Amino acid sequence: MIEDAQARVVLVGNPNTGKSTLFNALTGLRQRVGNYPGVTVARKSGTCELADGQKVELVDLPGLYSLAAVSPDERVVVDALLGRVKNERAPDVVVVVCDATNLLRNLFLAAQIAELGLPMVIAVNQMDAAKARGIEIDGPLLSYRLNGVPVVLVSAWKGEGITEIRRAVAHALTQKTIFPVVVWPDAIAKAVATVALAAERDTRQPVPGALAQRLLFDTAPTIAEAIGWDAEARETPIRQARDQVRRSGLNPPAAEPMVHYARLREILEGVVRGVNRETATVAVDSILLHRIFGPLCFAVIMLGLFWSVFALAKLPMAWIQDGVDLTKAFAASQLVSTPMLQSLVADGVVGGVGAFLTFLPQILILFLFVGILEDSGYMARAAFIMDRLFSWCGLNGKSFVPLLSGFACAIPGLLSTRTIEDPKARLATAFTVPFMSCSARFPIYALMCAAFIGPRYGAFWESVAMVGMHVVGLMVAVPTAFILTRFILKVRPAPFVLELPRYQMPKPRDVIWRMWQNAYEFVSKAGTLIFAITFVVWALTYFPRDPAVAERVRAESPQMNAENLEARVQAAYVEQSWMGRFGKSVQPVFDPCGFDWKLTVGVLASFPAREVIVSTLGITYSLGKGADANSEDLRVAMREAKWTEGSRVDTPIFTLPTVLALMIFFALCSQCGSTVATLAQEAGSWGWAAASFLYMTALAWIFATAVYQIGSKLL
Amino acid sequence: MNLDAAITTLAIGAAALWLLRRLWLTLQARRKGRGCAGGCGCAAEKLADRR
Repeated sequence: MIEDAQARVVLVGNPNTGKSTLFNALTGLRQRVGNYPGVTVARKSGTCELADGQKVELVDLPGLYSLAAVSPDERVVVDALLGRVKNERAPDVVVVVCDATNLLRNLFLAAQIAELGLPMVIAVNQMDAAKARGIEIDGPLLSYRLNGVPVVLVSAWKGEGITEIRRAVAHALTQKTIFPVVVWPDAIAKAVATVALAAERDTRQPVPGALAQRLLFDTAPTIAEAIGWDAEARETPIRQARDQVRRSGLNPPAAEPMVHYARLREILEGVVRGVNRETATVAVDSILLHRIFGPLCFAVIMLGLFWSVFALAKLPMAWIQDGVDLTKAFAASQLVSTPMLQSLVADGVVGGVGAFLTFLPQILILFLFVGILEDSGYMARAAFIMDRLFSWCGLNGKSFVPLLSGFACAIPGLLSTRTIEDPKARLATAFTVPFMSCSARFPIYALMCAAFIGPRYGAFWESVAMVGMHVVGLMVAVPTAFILTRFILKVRPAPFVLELPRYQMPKPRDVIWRMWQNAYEFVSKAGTLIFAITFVVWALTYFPRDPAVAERVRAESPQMNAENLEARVQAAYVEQSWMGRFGKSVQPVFDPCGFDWKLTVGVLASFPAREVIVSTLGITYSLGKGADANSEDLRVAMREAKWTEGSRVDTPIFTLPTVLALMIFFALCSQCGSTVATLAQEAGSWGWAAASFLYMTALAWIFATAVYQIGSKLL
Repeated sequence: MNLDAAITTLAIGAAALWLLRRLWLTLQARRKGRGCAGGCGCAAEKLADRR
């Protein structure tokens, strides 16, 4: 709990300058960081202890290049700086985090914030990268030229300069160190005064010069709307003020950066020394961003990634499977006197949760590699390679971060659409994010690949299938976005502006933390949601138990040996259970996709959360074998599964067309309650969420049917 | 009802109640425009954090 009396310090800066890394270093928290712009989209706060022992509230804000805020995440920053956030006053100190390798551009934002009259500290971050490039920065000289505003040279990820930041903030709080404001040319000063007067007259509230500057310079109406100056009233005075500026030979939108940059160049004269050597990045980019080699490298990296995931995870997966089998056998032996409880624990809980947990090694290895790719700066290049695809389908250039985040989970992907200025482009992106193959789809892909594709076609095709499943969502998202942006929402195309981060050695701490976080989420999901669902699925698959069913089966097969007869009895019980009856009644809908009733049940149980499929299959296949049967790997049980009725009786259920149809169904279907709810929240309407759900589910069924039907004819 | 059935019923009932509570919490979190059901490693506030 952060007390109200505490001083409030905010971290502001351009995107990808290391604000969240600095925030983590100062607060000891673990805010998500990444080597590409736009990772933080909302304010996050924590407590930071200063050098004098004083505790302050430290707020991490999204990155922005200028106070001319357009997108929702930029508005969050402007509102926080102006003290216009509900129940929050303006900050007591602003720490402007600058990238040491591009100080001039970063100080432009500081110069704009200076107009607000807030005490400031300049944190020149990423000094290690600057030194590596041969750049030297004279901090004391810069501080002297900024009238004593503390300037701290920092390397946040190495923990260098953190104590100095704590000292500098304490100093700024007591000394109120203000960044010197620029002296505006007369024409601009007069125009600002004109706008301020008109705004004060119309809104009946004081409008400080800093706000009047924004009203004069910005094309977006963010500040005008914030102070309640309506469009009709402001149109004439703002136009007249801009004409005033034009008559002096200046262009209003260009005047602000021109004036600021001219002064900042003077301030930085002699402060920044050395040569900016970027030869390594340029050389690597000439290959990785090449029109032909770039996409080729991307494909090779992705194939290598999934191949490694399968190859490295094989052994630990076998260990976990052995552990699950042992636990199942132990539980079954201890609960012989209570057969119902024995089945619940062995088949339901251990069978269901165990089937899910088996994929933990793959999740760990996947996020290890994803973390390395992100932290090294390659992911931003991957987005650059995809740009042609994005621009063709009319998606905004800023769609990259949401779509990239969507590959881990659609929810942060949907939240990061807030970086997109145009509401229509934001909506189009939000609609396409759930198509990205999130990590919850991974276990079902991995199960199918490991059970059917790997053993039959080898590790290479296993990797190709995994890459294919990750691409299929993108391939469907692109035409979807095209139709949405061109014909329904009519989005104006926007240029793709992405600041490519420099390459860096992945930081083991961040990569391992990311891996740990995902593993923790995965295991805690197994111990909570999956665990609870297994009870319910088991009950629905176990009951009712009518002894007449067993008697009928025994009467039908008097010659069968005891073990096979017991298996037949258990299978009959499962078929006449509530789940069995329900699955069989709905199965005709999924019959064209090649799904039997057990798969149908799995698909239906997965609508709230798609990862439930693995545990559901684990239970239905485990129960069908009987509690006393040898504990068996789900993959083997599925390989042996056969149709029990209809025209395909006694033929295997899991043929290649069925396996591909199931994977494609899961790649495209909307099976996540949280995503639907978040889409409704971000789109501002349940209508869009419902449309997304119906569209994705219908597409999934159509594609799965097409794959199964065509595949069955060809193979 | 024998002991076997009693324990099983109790366990299933508890699990079902827990799932309903979780659903309620998720809906509430969504209504307030925050929170994530988890499983993605994202930075959004988790339901578990508010317990």
